[in-house]
Order: sequence, then C-alpha cells, then structure tokens
Amino acid sequence: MKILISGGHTRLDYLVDELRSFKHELIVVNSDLQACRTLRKNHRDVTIIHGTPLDLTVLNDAKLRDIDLSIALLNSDKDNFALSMLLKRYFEIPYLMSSVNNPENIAMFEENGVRRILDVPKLLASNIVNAINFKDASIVSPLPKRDITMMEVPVNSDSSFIGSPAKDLKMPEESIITCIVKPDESIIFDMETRLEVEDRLIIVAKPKMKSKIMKSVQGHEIT
Amino acid sequence: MFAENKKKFKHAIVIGNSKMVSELATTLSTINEYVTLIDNDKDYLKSLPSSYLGNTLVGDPLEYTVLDSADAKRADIIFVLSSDDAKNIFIAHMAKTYFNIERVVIHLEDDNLAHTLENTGIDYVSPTGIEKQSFMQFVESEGEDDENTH
Repeated sequence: MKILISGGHTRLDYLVDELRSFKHELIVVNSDLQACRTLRKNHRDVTIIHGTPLDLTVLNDAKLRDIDLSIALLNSDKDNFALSMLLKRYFEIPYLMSSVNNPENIAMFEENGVRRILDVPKLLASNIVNAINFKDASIVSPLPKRDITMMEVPVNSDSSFIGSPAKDLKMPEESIITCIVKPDESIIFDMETRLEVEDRLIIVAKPKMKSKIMKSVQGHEIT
Repeated sequence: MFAENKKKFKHAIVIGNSKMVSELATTLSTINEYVTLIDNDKDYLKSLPSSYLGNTLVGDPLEYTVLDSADAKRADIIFVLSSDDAKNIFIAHMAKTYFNIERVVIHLEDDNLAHTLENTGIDYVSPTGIEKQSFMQFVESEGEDDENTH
C-alpha cells in the first residue's frame, strides 16, 4: 500500500518503522526540518518532503496521485480536517485517517469521509485506565466498542499449568485465548500447545472478566 | 449603496477579527434583522463602532457549542473571515454539517485551498486571487495599450 503521512513529530519515527516492517511504500510530508533529517538518516527508502502539508505546491511535489491511504497527524484538528478535505477532493485519496484531539470533532471528520479516526486523548485515557485497572495485563488494542477488549497476559512461574497443554487452562466464561506469544514465535491458539513461563496469552474478553482471567492464568486475582 | 440593493437575511453570523470584518458586520447589521459577530477577543468586540447594531458573542467559533449559542441553526448565512484558512474551512464544514446553514462564505488567503470546498456549497473569497486577477488585468490592459500605440 502507498501511504502518505503528514506531520507527526513525536510519533513519526516509530510509525515509519512499523509501517515499513509491513513493506508499505511511504511518503512523509513534514514541516519540521530536524524531524525530516532524522527520518532521512534512518529510512533511506522513504520519500521525505520537507514543507507545510497544507500547501498545495508542497503536496504536488510529493506526487500524490496514486496514494492509497493518508494519515494526517498535524497538531490541530482544524489543520488535519482541512488537509484531509484537500487530499480527498483534489488528490482523490480513497482512504483517509486522521488524529483528532477533541473527541467532539470526531463526528464531523466521519461525516466528511475521514473513515478512521485516531482519537488521541481517548487512546491515552484508555491506556492509563487500563494500566491502572489491569496491572499485570496490558491492553493490546482498543476494540470498536468498550464492552469488549483484547488483553495480553503473561504466564508467570506461579501459574499452575506450566508445561501442560493449553486445554488444561480453564478460562472463565466470556473470554477466549486467541494467540500464544512465545519468545521465538506466535501461535494461533491450539489446545495442544504447551504453556511455558514467559509465554504471553492474547485474550479477547469482556472487561468485567479481568479478575477471573488473572486468577486463571496467574493464580491470583487483581484488586 | 450596499444597504439599498442587497438581499436581507433573517440571521447572519459573522466570524473574524479585523477592520474589514467589523465594517462588514456593521453594514450587515443595518440591513438584517439579526446579526451576531463571534470572536474570542473580548476587547475587539467591545471596540466595534457604535453604528454596529447586532449582537456579539465571545467564544471560540471552532467549538460546536459556541456556534450553537449563536443560534446557528436559525442562521441563513454565515461569513467565516478569520486569517486562518484551516480554521475557516473547519468552521464552514461545521456550519454545513451540523447547522445546515444555506449560505456559507469564507475567506481563503490561499486560493489553492478552494479545492477543499468542492461540491460542498461553500463559497469563498480569496484576496490573493482577487489581487492576482487585478494585477493581471492591469498587465493585460498595458499590453493592449502598447498594441494600440504601435
């Protein structure tokens, strides 16, 4: 997929790393000269344009006609919105994503064709709340609704089923193990896979089940 | 002259902070039933000429609640004339998307950004475009003069 990333000062290097690991072709437009230099040093295979993304002459230089996806990461909602409208209507980019700082603006982005929203405060708040609530477990990804979550729970030395097949692990209702992440590979859940210390279980569950899940996997409930 | 010939609107909203904006709002307030000028600079709103007959509202027009407080649902025209193009584009879309305002007119410093308004029913005025056009007309008329001379 050919992806345009606009802005994104603090998150840019990490995001580029992640997207390149999936072999996406990237064009980055950024007004921060230092960020562009750092990126150019670390990613020779990424097209980097230094300039203001909301400037049509800069975007024309970036040759955007065949871009599949735009990710707008400018500092303000108004800038991300204006940029998304320009990319949608002038460059006809079919798939638009944008970060949104004010959750009240999400509906307007969606109603104007920005199909995926990165609700930054919500993600941050959700991560903090989950860090407080889940302690030993971590949330892998926020799912579309609040009533379901995907969490990663490490198998520790207190777990009673070490060395046993996964079928011996009795999971509580409204929870399911989807994947077992071992130090050297990830395995789609299989009843016969033996669980070891350092394995991490990717579990989809109702959030209310977290205490029971922790008890099943780690032998103790979280408070 | 403007007041004599122009269409009256029931409720006009004006957004922006400049001499031109305050003059426009003042003129509109003499011919329209209801005009509201919104800006987050209290001092600017206080400094409007005494001939301004409309209302003022202190607040950030990027926020839905501020436009709602200005009774935007009843507005039939809104002028969004700040010096920030992205802000104007955002507010204009909000006016159309949430308040269904029939006439939305914005200021665009960079007329290339007019592409953001395609098929939206939002109109724009670009000083850059107007100036460019005026200068080009001047250049063209100079050319014609030269041709006439020869």
